Amino acid sequence: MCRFVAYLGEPIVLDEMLFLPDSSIVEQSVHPQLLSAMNLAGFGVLAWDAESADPDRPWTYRTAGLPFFDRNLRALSRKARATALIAHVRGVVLSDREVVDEGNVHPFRFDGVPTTLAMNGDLEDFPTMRYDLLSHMRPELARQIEGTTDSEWLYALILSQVADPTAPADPDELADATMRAYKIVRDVRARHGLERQSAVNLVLSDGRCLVATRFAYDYGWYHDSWTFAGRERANDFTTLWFAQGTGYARHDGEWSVGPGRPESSIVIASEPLTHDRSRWLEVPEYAMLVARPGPSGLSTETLELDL
Amino acid sequence: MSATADTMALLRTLPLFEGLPAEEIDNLAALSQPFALEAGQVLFEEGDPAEAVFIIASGEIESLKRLPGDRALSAARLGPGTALGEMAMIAGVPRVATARAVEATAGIALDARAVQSLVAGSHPGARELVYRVGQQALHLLRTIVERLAQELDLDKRATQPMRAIAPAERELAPIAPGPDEVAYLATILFFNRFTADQLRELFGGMRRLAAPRGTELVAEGQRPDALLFVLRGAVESTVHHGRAAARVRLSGPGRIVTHLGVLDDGPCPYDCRARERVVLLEAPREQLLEIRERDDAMWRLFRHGLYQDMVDAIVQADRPLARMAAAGDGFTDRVG
Repeated sequence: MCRFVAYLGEPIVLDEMLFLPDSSIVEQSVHPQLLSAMNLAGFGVLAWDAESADPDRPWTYRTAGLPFFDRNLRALSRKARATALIAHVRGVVLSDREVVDEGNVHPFRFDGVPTTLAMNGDLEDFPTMRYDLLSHMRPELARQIEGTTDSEWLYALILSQVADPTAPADPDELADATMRAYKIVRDVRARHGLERQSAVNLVLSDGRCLVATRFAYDYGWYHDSWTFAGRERANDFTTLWFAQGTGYARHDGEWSVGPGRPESSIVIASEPLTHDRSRWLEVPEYAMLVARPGPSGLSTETLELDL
Repeated sequence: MSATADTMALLRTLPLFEGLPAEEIDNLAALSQPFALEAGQVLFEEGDPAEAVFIIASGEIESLKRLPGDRALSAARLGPGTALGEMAMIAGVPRVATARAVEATAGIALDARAVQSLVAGSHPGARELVYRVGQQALHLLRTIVERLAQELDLDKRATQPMRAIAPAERELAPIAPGPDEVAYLATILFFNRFTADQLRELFGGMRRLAAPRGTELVAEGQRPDALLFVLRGAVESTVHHGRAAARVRLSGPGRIVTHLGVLDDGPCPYDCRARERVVLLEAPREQLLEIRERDDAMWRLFRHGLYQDMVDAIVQADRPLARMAAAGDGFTDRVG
């Protein structure tokens, strides 16, 4: 299982999210709190800075290595600022079928497409269903798939449901496109008789909005084998948390969003970035969170994914 | 509050300990420590390990759920003669809320080992104590659900849309347990505490029921007469108010659906519907009483699992309230 964190709001220095909290995303790569194990297969971060040159274009850092020992990442994160970011730690099952290379590192971003995606999940028997998805994809997007992950295919599938994937994201359209893509996956699963639990927690962003899901197909129908995911009984519905407030900074020794309104910043993460989870809220199961800036601050909407 | 005699006198006034043998009260008093808090001081934080049960002698303590942005949801206010923190300790889980003194407060802290050894005993006093803690937990769960129903209209952002009503033909149907069921049970919550022989002995004679997605299992207001354990799939418990609705709990494998209604003899305050196709194990009230009457190691394992699940139900029921409180200003407090 993977871990991700996404942020939208007032400027932060990346270090404040990637390294400094006591359960930061990099710390989670070694000691996740809500996972029994993490088989590391790479780290990626993609960040937007509204004050930078060409602010709609994010910069990207990807490595198939371990972020914990990455001096370049640490040095960069102390200097770089962001008004939006997605960072992702890739975890894989222990299998010789897994491909561990930079091409499979999230977040994904196709050429000419402003919307990006990172995922924390695992579609059961993806090789069986993969090519059924092709007929629902735009060829120009399908051609850009480089890796072997279900996540990248899902990225292409969601973008294919948007009228113009090369345009800045409209959060409502992106939410609708994600729901349509999930229904396509549901139908393909049914066609192939795939009925085991498959988590699909993901986050999409173009630097101006965030769309995140906490969803699982056939929740509660575990894989029969004692797999990697099979050990996650207490948190068997793959977790997703968020915190929304004014800015993001250290408060009383803990990294968190600040008090007051209007709210200006949101953090969404597979698990809280602090050991103290009391300043975080769980995203409901079967839900989609849509966050966007509005005239009176950041607005967030929770939608039911009743598929 | 330092003299043991005072401590014993205080313990005897508590409904929780009423009727316990005098020597048990003596043991608790001997292993207890006084505590004193200034107004605003925190007794324990959400997430802390549960190492003691606290009895308030004077003053007032507020139970709080912290929220993002330094806000908090006030869960309860507790005064002299009440105990707090007993549920988390008996269930063996971390604190589920923060406790903070509203005014200068004093009392005694009962040592975790003393309470746990009392609870592990097989005498009638211990059984009664554990029963009362369980009833308190059920009362708290029912209170949270009722509050959630009342608050549902405050902030629509936290509510879930009504789900389609399932067709009448969607019904529970008995099925035979699969050949590998015992091996499977040993891997899921609640059941994984028992040996294979214990699983066969305790649950072998109970019915397995299957239902398709969308089936209504228990209607709001109904009085179910059996605990339903989810073996596969998931059940959604939803509270309604007008056209608004909120999920109180999503119960996956190894979780229990009908605490309220079966264990506290009241009407079920929410409806329970199969969110995914489900396989359930049905534990009728009479068979639960039989297991309780055994009062042996198996019952204690069963009870521990039941209490852990009740605490999980309380934590889950708090989540929609916390989201509503965080989204609106209607009923939040600032953390001091």
